[in-house]
Amino acid sequence: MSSIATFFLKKDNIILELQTLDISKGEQERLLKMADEIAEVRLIDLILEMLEERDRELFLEQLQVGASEVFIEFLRDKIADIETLLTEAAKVLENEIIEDIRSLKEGNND
Amino acid sequence: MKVAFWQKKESKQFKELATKLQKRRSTLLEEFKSKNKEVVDWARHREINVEDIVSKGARTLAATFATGAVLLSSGAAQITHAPENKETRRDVSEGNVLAFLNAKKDTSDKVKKILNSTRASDEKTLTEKLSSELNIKIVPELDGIRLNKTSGIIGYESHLTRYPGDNILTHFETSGDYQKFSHASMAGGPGAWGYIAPSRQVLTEKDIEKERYYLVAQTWLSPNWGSPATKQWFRHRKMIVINPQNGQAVVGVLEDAGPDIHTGRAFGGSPEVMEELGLRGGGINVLMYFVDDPGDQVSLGRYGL
Repeated sequence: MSSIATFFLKKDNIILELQTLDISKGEQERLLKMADEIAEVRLIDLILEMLEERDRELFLEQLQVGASEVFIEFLRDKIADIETLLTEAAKVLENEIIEDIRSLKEGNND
Repeated sequence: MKVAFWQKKESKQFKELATKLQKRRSTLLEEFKSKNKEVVDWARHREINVEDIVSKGARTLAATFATGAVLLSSGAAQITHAPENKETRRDVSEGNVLAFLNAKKDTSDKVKKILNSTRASDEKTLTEKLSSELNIKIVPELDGIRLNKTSGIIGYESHLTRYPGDNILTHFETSGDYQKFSHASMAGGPGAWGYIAPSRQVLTEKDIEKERYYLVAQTWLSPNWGSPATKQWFRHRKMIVINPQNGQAVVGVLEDAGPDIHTGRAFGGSPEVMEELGLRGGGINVLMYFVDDPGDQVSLGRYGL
């Protein structure tokens, strides 16, 4: 099922790094799913951080009842340039995960 | 013997990286919970797990951004204040092309002419001429009941809460409407007669229209005021409001009582009504009459476009 991570977390570079590990295809997929789950927490936390207190409850309610066409307008209204902010946050996470993978390889080479 | 995939031994590097990532997520979740205490309370109150908020929220947001991407690519999200090309006489049958075309004619100049050539005090002549021009039976008095005024300043109202829980995010059907009208914010609650619908589940298209084109009048100052039956008579009462400066006319329904006398205003209109009257900038003197429509045949919205 599609998640916010699908939109913002670019996984090409993470996949390239994972391919350098001695892991199976299935394990690679499970790790990518974990990366998505981390991105979900990061991105939702970021949105909550940028919303004013009075808008947070509306946001949470909307998350529970499902998306409407209006919801994206609401987010764009409340958070200027939200797509760029989320893309940047996801990029930071992507680099962190790549760093995790690299440090793992370095640790194994020691 | 063949080994099933779940029996396969996990690789060392997978286990190490999975542990790292799981730890990263757990730490983030803990930080999330301690940073967003009101979210934790909100979730506890509704018996929802905070982790479920994140996972379900991530899916909802995916759909949201997918919609946004479609809107952007189609240009729909760029709509600002462009007037909708709206069919105003929805009661005209599609088969009756002549009547349909006639209803689409802009009558505002003719309405202006009527208003300029008829004394406002001559209510009978004025409403008869307007009725004839707009093809709606317009009367200053209906069932022996009148409002305190048929002309006065109209104020720009907020959106009414249509049912318990209605908010700025649930209120609009399209992003275009949200962009045009969300600035008017929501009133703190329902109108003087209570919620239009008891819940979102039973909210009908008609209910949506009633709030979209709702009007406010000082019903308690009516010369006929004084009984619960009269108060109920005013509820959802269909009225026409006319901007004499541009001749634009909107049919709406009474859904709230007001404004207070000290405001100097006599009427109120929803943001949508005010937009249709060309009164986004504020109130001026308008005319307001009853629409005699016992069969509920006259649809709400702008007339004589």
